Amino acid sequence: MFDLIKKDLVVGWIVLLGITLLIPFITSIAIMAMIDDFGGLILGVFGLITFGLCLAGAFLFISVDTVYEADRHLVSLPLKRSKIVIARYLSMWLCLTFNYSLVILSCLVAVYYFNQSDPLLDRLLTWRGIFAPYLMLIFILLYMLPFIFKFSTNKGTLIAVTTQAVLLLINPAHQLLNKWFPELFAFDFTWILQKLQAVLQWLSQQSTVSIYAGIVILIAGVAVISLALSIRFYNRRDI
Amino acid sequence: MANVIEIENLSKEYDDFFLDNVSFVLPEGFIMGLIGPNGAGKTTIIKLIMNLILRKSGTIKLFGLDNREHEVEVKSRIGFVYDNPNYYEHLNLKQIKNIIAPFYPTWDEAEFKRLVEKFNLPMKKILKKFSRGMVMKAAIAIALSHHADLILMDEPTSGLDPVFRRELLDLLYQLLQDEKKSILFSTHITSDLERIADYVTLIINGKIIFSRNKDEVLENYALVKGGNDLLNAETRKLFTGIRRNEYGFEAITSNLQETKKQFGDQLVYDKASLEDIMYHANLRENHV
Repeated sequence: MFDLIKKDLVVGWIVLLGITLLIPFITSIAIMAMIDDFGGLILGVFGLITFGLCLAGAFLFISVDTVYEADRHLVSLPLKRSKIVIARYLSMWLCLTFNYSLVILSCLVAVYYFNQSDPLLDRLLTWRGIFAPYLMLIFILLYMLPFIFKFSTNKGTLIAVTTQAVLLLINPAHQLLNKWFPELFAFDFTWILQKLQAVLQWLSQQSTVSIYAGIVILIAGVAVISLALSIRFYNRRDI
Repeated sequence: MANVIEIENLSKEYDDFFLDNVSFVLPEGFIMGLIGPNGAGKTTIIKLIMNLILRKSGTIKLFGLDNREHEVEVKSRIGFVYDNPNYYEHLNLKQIKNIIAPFYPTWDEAEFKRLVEKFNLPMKKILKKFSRGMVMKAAIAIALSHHADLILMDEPTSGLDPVFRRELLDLLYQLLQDEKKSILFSTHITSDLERIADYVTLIINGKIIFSRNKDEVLENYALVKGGNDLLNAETRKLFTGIRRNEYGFEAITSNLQETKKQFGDQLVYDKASLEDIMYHANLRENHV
């Protein structure tokens, strides 16, 4: 397992170097530009930059394997396919964590070195503010990886991103259609939102320890399901 | 004598191709050549042996063990060379070796160095600057450095110059001095096989035409020529890949003795090369 992760580092060091230079640069410029031009950080834009850079960096990291069809070589080695899958999960998680650390580091540099203060940035730089997007990134990664092992890096990424985009667009699309054709699209989603709000309300009443324990259990559960699916898909895939 | 490869009723289905109940064996200590035209199923068989693709039905036993149930065990005893070993081009041979070696418990660093020196391969030059022949030599050096009992090669000689092809064949021949090693390689270049193979398996359109001892094949098969008047429904059964023109026909017979017995001096008999056999087996009756 360690040898496979080491392989990823040897093969993808140039990508890592690029990420190390690019992420702090883009993040810092984005923070400065937003604070200077708009008087503060815009959560939507900043979130998009952060998520985009971290995920794209992690996928770029394994893109070297895609270019050189590394699966052909890896599967011909005396290795169980499940080990290849687990190693790729770990490599991508490490890369994602590294990328996200660079984003946080850039935020810290902006606040403490360039003395750029912003209420949103201050909230982002708390433990909760740091870990909430990080967990979200891990969820997205765990969601995307089974698609990649089912199909291939390119096709799998495309399908995973498309399905996420579709999920994100369901609510605005429904609202728009409801506005244009009220008699055709009369289905009311508000009860789902009410349920969600009730869940959030219930969560806010729980102790911090219980919430963290719940998050850990949830992440672990999603990780196990994602890994099991990926191993199953990869075991049944023609290389 | 134990069989290194035992394949029985192996099938694989793609949208446009069907590997149809393939069966053959490779005994320990021999070289087998897998021949056939493009798209015949040679690479599919090799990929199935390596469990890179999933079979529809049938069994594959390597060293007497199922290749899926004992995947790690059998693969550690195989040296595998792709037709296009597309290694990471931005790395050098030393880095590639460092990536691959830890996965083989029997990796022999001294043997790797010996082969690298024998092939004149630079260790610190990136693979992007290697010629195709050098990449193939590197792949072979890696495949032979963990004392594999079975060497599997998919079209190892295609695109290589005749000098290196000859060197490679000599190397494979030397390998067999160790009687426990066996080799299966697919190729279009049938002259390579005539030089070193002990067994030949011919596959066309996903079906095995024969899998036999090479000398037996060359003894029993012959290229025959004769007048068109000799062809009828009964006599056609003796011939494969009949090529006719206004002066007569040319075909391959797989039973030289019987053909001679039936036709005597009415036919002209020539020695059939493996290429002739492959060509005529692939040929449907052709009126020119």
